Amino acid sequence: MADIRCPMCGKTTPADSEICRHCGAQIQPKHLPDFGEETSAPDDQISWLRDLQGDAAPPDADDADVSPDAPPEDDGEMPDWLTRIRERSRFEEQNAARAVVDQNKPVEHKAEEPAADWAENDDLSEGQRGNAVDEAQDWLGNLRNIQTPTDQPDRLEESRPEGETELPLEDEADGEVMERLSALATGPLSAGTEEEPLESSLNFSAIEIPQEEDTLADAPQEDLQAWLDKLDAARPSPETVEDKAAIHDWLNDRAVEEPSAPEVEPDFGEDIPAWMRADPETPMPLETLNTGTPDSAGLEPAEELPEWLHPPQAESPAPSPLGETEPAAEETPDWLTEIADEVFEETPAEEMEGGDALDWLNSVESEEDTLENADLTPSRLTGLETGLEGDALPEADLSEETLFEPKDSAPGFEGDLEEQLLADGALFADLPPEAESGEEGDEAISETFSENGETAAPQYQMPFEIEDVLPEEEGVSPFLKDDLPDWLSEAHAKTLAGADEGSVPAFTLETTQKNKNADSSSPFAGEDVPEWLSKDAGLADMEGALQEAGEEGEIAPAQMPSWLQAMRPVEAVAPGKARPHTSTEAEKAGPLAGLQGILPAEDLATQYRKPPVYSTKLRMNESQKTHADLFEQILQQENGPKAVSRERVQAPHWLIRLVIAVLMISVLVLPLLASPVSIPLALSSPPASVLDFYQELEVLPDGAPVLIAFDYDPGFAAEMRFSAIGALAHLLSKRAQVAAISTVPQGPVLAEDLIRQAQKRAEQSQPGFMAGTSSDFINLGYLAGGLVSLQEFSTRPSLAVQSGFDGLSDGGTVWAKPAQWGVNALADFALVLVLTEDVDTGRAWVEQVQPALGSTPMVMVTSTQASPMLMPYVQSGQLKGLISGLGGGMAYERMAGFSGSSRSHFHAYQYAMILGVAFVLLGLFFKILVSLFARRKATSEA
Amino acid sequence: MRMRAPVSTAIAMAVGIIILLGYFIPLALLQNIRALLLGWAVALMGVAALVGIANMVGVHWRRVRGEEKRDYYSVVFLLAFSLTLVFGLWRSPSDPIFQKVVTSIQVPAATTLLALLAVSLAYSSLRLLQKRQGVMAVVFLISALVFLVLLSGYLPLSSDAPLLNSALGFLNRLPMAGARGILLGVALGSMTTGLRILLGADRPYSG
Amino acid sequence: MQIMDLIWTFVSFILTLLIFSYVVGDNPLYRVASYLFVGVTAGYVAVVAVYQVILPRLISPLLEGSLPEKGLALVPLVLSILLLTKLSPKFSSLGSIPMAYLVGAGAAVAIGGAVMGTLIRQVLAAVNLFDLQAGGLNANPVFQLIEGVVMVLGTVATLAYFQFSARTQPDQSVRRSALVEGLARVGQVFIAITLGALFAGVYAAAVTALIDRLDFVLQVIKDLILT
Repeated sequence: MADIRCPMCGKTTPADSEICRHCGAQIQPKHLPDFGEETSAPDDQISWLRDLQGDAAPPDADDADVSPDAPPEDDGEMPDWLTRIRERSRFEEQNAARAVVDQNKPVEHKAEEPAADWAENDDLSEGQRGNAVDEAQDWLGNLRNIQTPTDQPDRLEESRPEGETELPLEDEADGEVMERLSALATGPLSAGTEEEPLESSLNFSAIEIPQEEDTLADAPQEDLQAWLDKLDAARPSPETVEDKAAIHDWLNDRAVEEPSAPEVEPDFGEDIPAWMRADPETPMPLETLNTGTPDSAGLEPAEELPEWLHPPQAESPAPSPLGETEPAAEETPDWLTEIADEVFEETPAEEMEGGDALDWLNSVESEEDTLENADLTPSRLTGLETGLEGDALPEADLSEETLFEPKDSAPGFEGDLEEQLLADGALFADLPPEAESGEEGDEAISETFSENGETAAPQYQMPFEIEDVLPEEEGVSPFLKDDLPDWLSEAHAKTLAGADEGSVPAFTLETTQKNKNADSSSPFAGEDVPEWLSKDAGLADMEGALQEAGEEGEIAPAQMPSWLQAMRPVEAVAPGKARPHTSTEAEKAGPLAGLQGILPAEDLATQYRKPPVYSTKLRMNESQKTHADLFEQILQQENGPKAVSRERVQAPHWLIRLVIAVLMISVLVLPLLASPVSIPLALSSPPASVLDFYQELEVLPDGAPVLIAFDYDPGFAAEMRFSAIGALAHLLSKRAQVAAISTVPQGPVLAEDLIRQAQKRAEQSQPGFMAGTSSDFINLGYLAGGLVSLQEFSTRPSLAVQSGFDGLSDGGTVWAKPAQWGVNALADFALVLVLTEDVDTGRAWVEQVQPALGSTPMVMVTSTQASPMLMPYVQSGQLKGLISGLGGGMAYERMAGFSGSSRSHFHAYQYAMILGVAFVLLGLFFKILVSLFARRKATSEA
Repeated sequence: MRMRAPVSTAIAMAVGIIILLGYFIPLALLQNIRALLLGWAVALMGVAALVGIANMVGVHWRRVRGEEKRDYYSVVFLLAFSLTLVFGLWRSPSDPIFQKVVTSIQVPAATTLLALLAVSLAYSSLRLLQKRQGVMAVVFLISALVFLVLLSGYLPLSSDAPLLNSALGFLNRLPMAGARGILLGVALGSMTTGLRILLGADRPYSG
Repeated sequence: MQIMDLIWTFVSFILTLLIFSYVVGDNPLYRVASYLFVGVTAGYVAVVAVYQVILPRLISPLLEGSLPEKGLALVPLVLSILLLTKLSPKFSSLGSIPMAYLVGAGAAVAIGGAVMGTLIRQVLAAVNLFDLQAGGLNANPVFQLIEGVVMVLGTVATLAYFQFSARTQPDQSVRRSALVEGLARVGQVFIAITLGALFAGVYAAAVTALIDRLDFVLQVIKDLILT
């Protein structure tokens, strides 16, 4: 045995020493019972062994205990399981004496040894934590009970939780341990078949153990005994108690991880059953070992259970031969299923690899018979339990493998197993690889998850990568040079060319080193771990288990007994039928010497890095990209403003405008200056609306009250003057009493101005006409508010015009004068004349006022720009007459006999209109020319 | 959804409904209330006009005081505004001199602006088909040509030629079809908009 | 007075020329004239508003009216004060109440006017086109019928053109029904005719204004030359 590293102080002490020479912490258990009690790890191992014996039932039981899902089932199953265990225990007791000779013994030794190793580790850890002693004892007792009966798979599975919890710590004793060992030896056979469904990890472990046992069989019994003694001695130590706590922690982590295992398990169990059945015995021990730990954990609630144990537990229950596999499948975490579905299914190569991984397991199984050396088992156990926290090696491997396995698919696996069973016997080689693969697998998984969206594929590829990397890997062995066993050191020297630290034990894991620093149990926990990973309980657990395993792995190699070296599979021993590995390199040193396709432990160091940052870039293929580009282009075309083609301007706008203005002015000025005498044709036949207008005014009695609305903008004052002056003169000539109103601020002023001009026109046209006195005209002023004021004015005119345009200076109400005319409402007016240039204003008058007029006619003088829109009101009869524009005004003047100087204006107006026609035709002509030219150009170019 | 400006909405709806009912229900009380409401609205319209003017003056005032980009034309505006306001308030709108503000400043200026429109329209008539093309543009062009001729008065509606008279009369009344459709559309639109306001669906006042 | 008239005439003349200078493009002369015009208009409107609305409708009732009248006059006064808050961004929200009042009143008046003045009467007028007894403008009954059909068709088609409600067709395209679509196309023609008439009318109105200004300028020049 090499030196052991004290878990407390981390310094090396001789393996033989029970107490750390540096810190005084007990390293090895003194008594088996103590061992079982104190260290959960030992118990775990034992239970695990028991499970193996009990056809992996124990592990299941543990798992069931640990896993919240399983508990309900356990109760019912307990009895059977207990009975089996008892039977086994009895059997073991009987065979206890023969243990050394029988395979069972070696197996036991192996189991015990590893247990011892890990027990030591556990003890150390326990010493630190100190609490779990009782618990450990409990579960140890359970283990004892379980072991003694018989490890029948059914019972084990069912009774897992119960048995564990029930077992008293005190029961554990050397004799019990021996019994267990013996039971393990016997159990495997029976349990094998049942355990098949069990988690792959369990199977693997079970397989491995038997192999070890087989191989170990050759190992001297003395070593085993000594190892057992050590274990015993170590147990009582308080450190072991602490270890238990630690173990519990990592077990808990495992428990978290469990879900993943269960997923795998179902498949594995289904697929693997063949080999499991084929080698019921061999797998048993491993299973028992694995389960043992879980059992111990299982004794106590998930909290107490070590994290790494949880996964196996969960796995075991689900896959449990009893048919719990289905629940396990249900329990499988999503990511595992996804991985299994995607990666494993897709890549056959991966399957091959998985098969490879299994191969060595198979080989182990096959070798189980041969491996009986206690040395091997202890080392493995230590490695497994390292579990302690981790023995993570085996377990992690198992779990990982299980993960892989399902992916790989059992079918191939079975075949591989068989082949391996036939040939390979290098348990050790297998074991380390397992451990490595397991660790690496975990890391790889984590990395792959983190790095690649394809989680599964990477995992699968892991083995290859590891193998390839092995030589290149940086030596990051957890073992100190001193601790390293000779063969390990040799292997390290060989494998690691440039490694600083020669020791690169197969068990050592990068994770372990990193884990040391990391507070969190899981190596991935921390900054490096992506959120989703960290969040993933299963992964985290896995990682935690790996870490623990790594730590233990460090210790384990240190404990590697000499027999382990002897057990190293030699190339000659290596089965020729071993599956071809992708990497041709074979392990030349260390326990794995002679094995190909071994997962390089060193790779972990290189592979375990910060999870790469996921790029948010969208991965798309070319076709997708082209489509996306197309779509983007279309969108841009839609969104982007269309380029407005700039008009070709032969000449500046202002120049053209100036030319047009000059042309128009010159054309208009001529008639204005010439004052043509000829009468335009239009004046001879006024429009019908003008005739109606005239008729309405003509029928007005003299002195009739007339309401005139001057609702036009100052800009149209000229046109309105031309249009309305004749009609206004006509009204004034009839001595109409005019009330002016306006909804335009300037209206009142315009009204007075226009009325004055109309009076002039009337005076000019009719010499005898005397413009009405002020009493005949009242300016009602301005109505603010448009429609609303018009509505008010139509209903309550007196209220609407309170002041009048002249204000309240005259003292009375403005409406007093209309009232004198007999007008109290708008309907009392004889006529309502609206002068407006705006369609809306005209419409407002028609809509708001006209309905209130009753029989009073409403006529309108409007601009030519509004007449087309107001004509419908004329046609509908709402407007009795309409004069529009200069032409209409001139027609009315001529008709009413109030023509004035407007004639010259009308001539100018006619010229301007003809000029407008000419401009339009000119534009049309240019357009035709341009289009023709463009066509010719186009045809010539074509 | 939270109702915006519930008070304002209630006021708008209440006032609107009362005034609207007044169109159809000749109830004395209703008519009195309606008249009162309308009177207040007219008063508010006057105040609103003042508010608009004040806002415009404020804009020009800021332009004048603007440090970066002073608009000296706004000085002209402010001067014209203040002088007119002061003089108007002093002499009242009915003052003959103050009326010159309309007749000698506003009318010539506004009329000249409209006269400029004549030049612009003549210029645009040159390019009627250059900016827009298609059936609508052609119809519009033909219609414009026809009515320019009709408005010129060179085609008198004489009773001497009944057929021509009927044709010209028909042409003169032809725009009425589209105009009536537009008027009906506008009426429908205003009615819809008004109803939406009265029902509280539209709240242009709560901005 | 004649001097004042001459001054005002000269002012008008100058203003006319300044604004007409826009023919050669935007220039300071035009800008000065336009700003002056806007300023004068604003001042004038303010004066008119004060004299025609504020004083008689808000102030007088408070000073001269009876107690009930004074009470009632407070309402528009308060509303007016609230409306003045529109000038302040800080309190502009208070102005929404009088604005709501105005909008509500305006909406009601618009609805009533549209229904009473346009919708009913214009629909009846469209129908009356076929009333031969009414003796339309056209003496020939055949022509009257044809004209009535054309008018009704044009009116309906124009309304269809403004019909913007559409349904999603089976081919997922949002369109109006075929009938409405066809009518809308016909309505487009009628609208184009009406717009052409309006264009001619606007041109005629502008030309009239131009003639008036030219006449004014010629008169001023003639007076200046003569005097």
